[in-house]
Amino acid sequence: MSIVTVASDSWSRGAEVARKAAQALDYRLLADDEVLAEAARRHGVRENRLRQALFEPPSLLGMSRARRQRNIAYLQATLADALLEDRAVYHGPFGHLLLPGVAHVIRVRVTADQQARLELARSRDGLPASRARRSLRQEERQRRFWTAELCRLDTDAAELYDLVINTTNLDVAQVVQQIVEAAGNRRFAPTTYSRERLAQLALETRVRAALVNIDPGVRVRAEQGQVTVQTVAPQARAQRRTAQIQEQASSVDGVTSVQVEVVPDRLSDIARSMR
Amino acid sequence: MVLDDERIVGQTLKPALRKLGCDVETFREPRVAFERIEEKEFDIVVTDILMDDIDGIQVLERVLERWPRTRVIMITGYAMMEMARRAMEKGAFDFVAKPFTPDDLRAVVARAAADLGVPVEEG
Repeated sequence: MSIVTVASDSWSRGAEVARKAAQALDYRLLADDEVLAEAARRHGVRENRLRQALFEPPSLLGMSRARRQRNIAYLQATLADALLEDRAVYHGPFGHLLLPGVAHVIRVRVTADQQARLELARSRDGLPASRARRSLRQEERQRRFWTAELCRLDTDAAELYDLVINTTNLDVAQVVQQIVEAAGNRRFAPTTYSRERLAQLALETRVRAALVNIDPGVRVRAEQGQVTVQTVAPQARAQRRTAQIQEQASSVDGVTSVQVEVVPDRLSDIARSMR
Repeated sequence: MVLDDERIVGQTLKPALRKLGCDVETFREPRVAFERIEEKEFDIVVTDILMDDIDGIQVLERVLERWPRTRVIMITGYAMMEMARRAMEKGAFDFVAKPFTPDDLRAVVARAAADLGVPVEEG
């Protein structure tokens, strides 16, 4: 069975769509609140920090890039682990970005016309149009940031989604029906390859989460337990960095061997030579 | 049937699948495999995807057109999400990325056999 990720625009009825799709498919529903809580518990960080990393647009005085990368690594690892069992609907803003290349993940985006979203903000949450508009702009900025950050694509790039549904002129039951039909399509059936890909992704993200304190930009590739880690470090620290990574990565469940590739940090090396 | 233009694949899989009690015919040339498909209904076909002149998707289509009951397992060293989805949409039973061990493929073949209602012992 497949996995459905639902990324929705505010006030487009995405949460309701996800909940009812899970019911109709008899899949478990995983909301981003649960993922945030589990990631916070597992990695010993504050939940509001994770929320901030995910939802607040970057700003000069906001969270540093390194801290944001660390928090996202924790979320990604938690989400990948939670979805190792299929038959799930995940409702969260960036599920479609966090699980790339898994054939049985159906990436749904739920949106609505701006006027319909503003109307729902007013009628359901009592928000005046000016505040709702500000919130929509902020959300859009955040989405563009993460899409560019995580996959170097524009937020509207067609390849990011398998199904884009505008709920303006559809009722929720019709939207859910479209998702149910997609889930029944063999195109999204799990395969040995797609399950391995998800397991590989889960291992890569677990290892990355274990290493982001050493290098927030660390890159990890895993194949059947064999892990290759790429890190940028000044030449003088290469040996120590390698040893640290070896030790940390080897302790992660499922890792059978670790290979570390140190890319020289030329700028630091030049700065050091000029001192 | 096992169809792969790399000799080593057939050589490795033949004895591995025989352990399941399967009669195995191996092919390296898709055209020769096509001729055999015309005359014999195989329970399970394992085919590589990227081969010279005829690709695995064409093999899948031909097999299912002629023998709809046959389970077709796609294998490839160049697995990609879209390729897997396309194969599954066209009716593949499973899609497996190389490298795999003989045990890995035996497990998939055993599942295909069970799906056909002819379970085999995985050993």
